[in-house]
Amino acid sequence: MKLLIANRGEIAIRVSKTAKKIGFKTVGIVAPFETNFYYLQFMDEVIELEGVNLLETFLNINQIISIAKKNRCKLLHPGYGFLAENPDFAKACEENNITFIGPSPATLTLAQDKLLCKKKAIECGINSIPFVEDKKDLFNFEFPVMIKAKKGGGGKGLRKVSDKNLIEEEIAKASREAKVAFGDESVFFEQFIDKPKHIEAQFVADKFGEVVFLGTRDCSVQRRHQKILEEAPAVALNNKNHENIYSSTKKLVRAINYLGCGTVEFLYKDNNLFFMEINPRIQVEHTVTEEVTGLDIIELQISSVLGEKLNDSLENCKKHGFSMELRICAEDPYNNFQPQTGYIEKIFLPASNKYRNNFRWDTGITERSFISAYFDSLLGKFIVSGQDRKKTINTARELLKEFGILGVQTNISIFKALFKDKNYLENNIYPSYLDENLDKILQIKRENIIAGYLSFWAQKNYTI
Amino acid sequence: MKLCIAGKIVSIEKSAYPFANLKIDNRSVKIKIIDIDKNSCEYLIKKRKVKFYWLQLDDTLFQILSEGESFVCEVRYVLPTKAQDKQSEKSIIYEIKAPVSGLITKIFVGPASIVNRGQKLLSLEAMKMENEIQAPVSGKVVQINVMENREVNKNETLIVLEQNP
Repeated sequence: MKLLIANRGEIAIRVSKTAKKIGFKTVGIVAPFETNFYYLQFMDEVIELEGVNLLETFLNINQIISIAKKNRCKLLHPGYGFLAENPDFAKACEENNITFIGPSPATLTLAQDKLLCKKKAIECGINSIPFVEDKKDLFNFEFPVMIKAKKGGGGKGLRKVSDKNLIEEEIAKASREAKVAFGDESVFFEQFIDKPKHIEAQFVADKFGEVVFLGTRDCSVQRRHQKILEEAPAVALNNKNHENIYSSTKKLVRAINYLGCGTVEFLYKDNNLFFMEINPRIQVEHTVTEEVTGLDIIELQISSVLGEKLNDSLENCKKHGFSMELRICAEDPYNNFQPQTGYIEKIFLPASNKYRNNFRWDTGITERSFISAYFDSLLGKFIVSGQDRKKTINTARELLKEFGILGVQTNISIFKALFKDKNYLENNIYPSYLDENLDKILQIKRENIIAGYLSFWAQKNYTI
Repeated sequence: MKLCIAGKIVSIEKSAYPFANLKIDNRSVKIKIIDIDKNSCEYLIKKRKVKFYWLQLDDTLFQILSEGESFVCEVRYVLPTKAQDKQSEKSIIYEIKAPVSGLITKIFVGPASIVNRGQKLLSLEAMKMENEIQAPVSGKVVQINVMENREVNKNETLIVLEQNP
């Protein structure tokens, strides 16, 4: 049977590896403006898309469906991003007898609506952040409040308002952003929670109502609402919190007839967990859960969607005590995170390091790949595992010393700085921490710059 | 040779391998080279062992990797003026730049070669034409930034010459 992978880069490779392992042939798609063809090596067949931008290619439902039909692909994996959470896409697959590796269109429609999800969670008895739909009801709210787009995501249409008098203005801004990003301008209001932790639960659900809970992750290291470092498990939670997140996740996932793998996101503050949203897809950071459990989540996702029964003994799987993922991106942390473009000249991996067995590198690039501005800036995921958080941080520090990418400036310096930062080491991180403190923790040493240039000079002048 | 690295004036003086002398803020520092390969160099500075990987991004920009850090630095030559130093640095630095984008097919000089005005420095193939690049002045090669069989962009600095005083 053939599986179409409606994605590119790192996740297309990740999906293809598992699909081949379990006996499927994979079909990859490529945009005419692609500059990095590395992922195509992992596909059994490659089809070229038509179009000049993302809307005409990776976001074009009709074109992707017709490619799947023409090439007799019975299965389709959307990866993450692009059309992965689009109910119309899942529906189009259904209508054309293609199995969409993800939840049903109805579940996707529900997950898209943040407000409806919150109501559903409350019905299930899950603690949720206090919210109102009508701005008139804001009078009994303490400021600051958060304005959120009903169909939000990725930090778009999201605004914090500290001053009551500015609320109208901010609503207008948020609505405009939401309209552009999601085609729906409706917003609602939530109590602002200061310095929470971002905690999430990974699960897989089958057609028979079995929900397997695969553990927690802490994704509190963020920059402008984008995760850059994720950890598993979330060590900030105590046993009681853990039981709470376990039962809440199972209850909610069952209540919405979910199928396949997904994530429930929570905010955590002062021993309280607040439901935030459901992510109905494989996530970038699924890898840390894989390292901690030793399971292949993509495999579980595919087999559960294809109707296999899951066994709750999967919940006892254990490989590593702790794992973290560093998102290595082509952006310059010393220069306002401007995206970088260029050829990858060389990738140095810690291949001979004594910790190499604790290291995994999931990537979509290779030497001579060209990084263009068309796609997002993720170059790869630097995954480090170990016994516990402290030991894993030390291992990561050692491994980073031998890691680097030449050709484009990357954000690796942030991680080195974080591993020295007292608040990070003591796990006192919250999502806006980096935005507020980056200048303090990321200091470039002129001494290092001079020393670095000297190595160039010495190489030029003393090569024999 | 005087350089401005990330806004700081540094003078570098070559001495017998594996040593070099630096002057930063009038303090002299000696470096000792331990190991060199294609795009890295390891050396001792103030009893500290450092190893860096680097890539030249353009004329004045370098990307440098070191132990989990990546940064871009800007380096410019400081043209000596009379006010700065009367005796030792009357020489003038000449940057030989690529007149067009193309492929370096042959380099005729080595690091520290003495060249005469008009002498061939390298061949640059562009649009199937072989271009010979010659020394504009007599002097000494102080830096070679390119390798044979490498593509270069227009205006990329290829060779740096120090004119005889």
